[in-house]
Amino acid sequence: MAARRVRRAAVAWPVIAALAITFPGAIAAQSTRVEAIAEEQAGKARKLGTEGPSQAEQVIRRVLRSPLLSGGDGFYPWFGSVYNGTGMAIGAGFLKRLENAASFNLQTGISLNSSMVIRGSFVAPELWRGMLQLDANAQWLDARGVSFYGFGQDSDRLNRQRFDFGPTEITGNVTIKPVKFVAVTGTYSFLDVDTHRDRLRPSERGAPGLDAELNYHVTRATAMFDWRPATGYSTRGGFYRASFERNREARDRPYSFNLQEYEAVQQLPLVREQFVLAARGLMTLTTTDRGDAVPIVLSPYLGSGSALRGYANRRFTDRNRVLLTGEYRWRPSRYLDMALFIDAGQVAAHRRDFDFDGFDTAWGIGARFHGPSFTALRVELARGREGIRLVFAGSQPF
Amino acid sequence: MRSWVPGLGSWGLIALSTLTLGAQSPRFYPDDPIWREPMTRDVRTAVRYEPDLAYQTIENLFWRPGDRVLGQRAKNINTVDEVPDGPYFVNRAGRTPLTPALVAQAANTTDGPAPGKWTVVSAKSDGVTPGFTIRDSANQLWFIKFDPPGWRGMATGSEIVAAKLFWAAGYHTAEYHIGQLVPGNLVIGKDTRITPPGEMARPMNQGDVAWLLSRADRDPDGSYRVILSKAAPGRPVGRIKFHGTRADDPNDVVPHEHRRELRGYFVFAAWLNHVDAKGINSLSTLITENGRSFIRNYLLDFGSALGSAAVGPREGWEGYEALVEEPGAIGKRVLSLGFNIPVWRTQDYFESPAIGHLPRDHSKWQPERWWPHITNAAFRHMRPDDTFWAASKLAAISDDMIRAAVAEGKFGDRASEEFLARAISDRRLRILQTFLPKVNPIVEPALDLNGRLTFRNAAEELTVADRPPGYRALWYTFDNQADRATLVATTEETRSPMLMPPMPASEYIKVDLAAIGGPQPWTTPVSAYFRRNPGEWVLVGFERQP
Repeated sequence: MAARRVRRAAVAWPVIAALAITFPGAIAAQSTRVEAIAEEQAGKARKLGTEGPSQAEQVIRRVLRSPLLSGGDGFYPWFGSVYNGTGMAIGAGFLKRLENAASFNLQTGISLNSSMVIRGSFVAPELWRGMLQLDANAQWLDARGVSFYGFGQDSDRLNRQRFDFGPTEITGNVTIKPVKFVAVTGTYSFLDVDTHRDRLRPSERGAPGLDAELNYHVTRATAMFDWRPATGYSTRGGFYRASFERNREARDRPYSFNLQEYEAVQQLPLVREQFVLAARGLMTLTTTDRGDAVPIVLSPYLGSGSALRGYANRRFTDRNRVLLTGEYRWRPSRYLDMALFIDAGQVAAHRRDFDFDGFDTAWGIGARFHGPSFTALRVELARGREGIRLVFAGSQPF
Repeated sequence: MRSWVPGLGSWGLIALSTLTLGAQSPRFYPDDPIWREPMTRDVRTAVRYEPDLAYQTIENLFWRPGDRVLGQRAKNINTVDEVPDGPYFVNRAGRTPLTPALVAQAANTTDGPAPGKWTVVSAKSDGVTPGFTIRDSANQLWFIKFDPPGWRGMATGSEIVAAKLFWAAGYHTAEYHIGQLVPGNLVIGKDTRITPPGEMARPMNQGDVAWLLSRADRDPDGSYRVILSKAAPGRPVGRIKFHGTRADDPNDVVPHEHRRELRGYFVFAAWLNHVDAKGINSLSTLITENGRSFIRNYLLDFGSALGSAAVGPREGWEGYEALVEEPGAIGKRVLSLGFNIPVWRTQDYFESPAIGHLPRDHSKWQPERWWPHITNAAFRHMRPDDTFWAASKLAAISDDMIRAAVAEGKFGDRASEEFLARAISDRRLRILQTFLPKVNPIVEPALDLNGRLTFRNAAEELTVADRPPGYRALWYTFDNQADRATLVATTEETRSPMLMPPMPASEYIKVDLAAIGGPQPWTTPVSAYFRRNPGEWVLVGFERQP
């Protein structure tokens, strides 16, 4: 029995000793608080690491600092619209900033219905402390399935025709900003318009300029007063514009015309911009040379995400148009505005044909996701007399 | 016959029991409570790590880093519920005799840059606020910042005031001075480079200086009012993290979200509307003293505090909402068609070029609903006992001290200075009214040899709450080694002092003290632990649970 006890003790005490060596701190408890903390610090000192970014931070750094998202020079992703009614488009751009506020920008994109665009712009260095600015733009567009419903407010939506629209345009602008908020711009464009449709209906008289290849020398003068804080997003201020345009068909085909456009936007902030009452009026008037017509692709129209929401794109076309819009906006967040809106629009062949009872109206609700000076996404549900339409856009409505 | 010697399995149990008993630390050590955080290891391998601001923002907005278990008691406090002096904090207000003159001086040890030319060694060309780093004729590094055009005094003065008051609260801050920059006194260092927006780095020239100065407020004589902050001592190794610990600092053993002074930073930041209270606006430096290196953490960059947003006056939402609002609040405002109007849109504001833009009336301000631009893990872990701690520090900062700090801002507009000092005092009062009554506000319990237990009610004393009808004390003997209390008696009194009932002989006594009546949180007892030392009872432990 004694031998058995000795054997057991011979096994047990080494176990205790081993545990004591393994956990010395447990056996030899500290006698002061400082010693207890020092023991913890000694433990950490045995397994020190290097302070630095985590893997997640390294990934985020790489992503955010790439030219795609940093807003710096280089390539960037592009989302938007190639042409009204062709659906959402994606693409890419390349931006190169130059000295003294000059820049070069190139974009290309393709939309859901395979419409494509390539556009480039060059903004020259500012002159006279920014009072004089020169810029040039070029664009090649292939817009598929553009709609035409016939002229007038009473056109039948069942008469919809689709055509492909391929303008190529080179533009130069000279802008003078004599005082704050005021800008006067002179523009010259050379515009090559090419349209195609699958079936020849209706006639040339019913759809002037369709299937024709037209070349235009466009000269335009625009005067504007814009006291909104930013053009891409704002909650206060106003914008007033008058534009006069001469479109001369370069080969003397009977499609030369003049266009005048007047626009007024006013925003009235309430309760420190918790609410904004906004209104817009837009009037476009055309006149032709004797015997000439305005080609439908260049005619004023209503029906889009920014002109008479609630109707199909280019739903109403004619030589003249009037659009009135009112919005009640409220701001649930600094990045989200909501709006209840009502649009009223009318097209007419002659100015005298406008009458108060002839307006088509639409109303709806919208959400706008925005930054301090830009609108990233606008989603709206609009109801007109022909049903409900959903609007997606990447800009504020006006 | 069964042997008395246990089998091997039983030996294992005994061994483990032995270990467990051996590991049983006493509740209180002889040196408790400690008032200086031990930093026993030499920090040798700390390297500089600059966290990415965008990543920090995303991390705190969406991932909520740090300990997932909220509601834990702070882990760096001593046994009497206080923060020992350490790498983030030094006990000043409420523990050392502060005076208005001391608050005005704060961390300053000099009168500013040495006389002579200032050599530009680098420039801040990104962002919208210009800034220079210069060396004075004594080779000391200083950082220079300006007021935005049209707001003379706002950013520079607000930064000075906030820095002085954060220092008084106990945080490490840099040395700050208001000065005057004469462009002719600037010399560009021969190796100084600049990276203008959208351009490559290149040597800096006088045109760059003129361009940077064009974005600053200029005095009629062509000089510029500036704030000069002296480079903090030591080698920069990064910024304050608000969660986890530094991997390369052996002394850093308490996760930062569990450090009371970083949780309580919320209260002081709310007080001074320091909405930019994020890691990037701090500095960690490696300091060597007496042959041993350790890391000290400074709060910096208070330009977005009080009525200033550094580049302009404070915007209405700042302090009331985070950079990204709560989804619930957004949803309510969507559904209400905007008629759920945030208070910051409707209240009246005081605005002046000297101090910026501040609510005119703070009597209804709700400090617990204050928001920094971006919150952090320490703020998320903050409990009512942490906010009580911070509020009790604030209580020790008097109106005279506040006025002394505001005077250091040299705003040059008496009416604005008076308003600012009053606003800071009013916000302090709202903090005391809010956070002191949120927990049992009994402080400084003491037991004398005659068995008289005295204590103070901080909320009642500061007239932010009414006196409760009475107090109840539960008296225990306490076994320090076993961390076990045995109830002996209960006594009640209408106020301090209370008399100790007859107690068995015990080295330690525990007393649970709670209010009878009064606000509900006051009925949760605070626990005071006294050790019998020769000739006295010494407070060795104090716990305040929310």
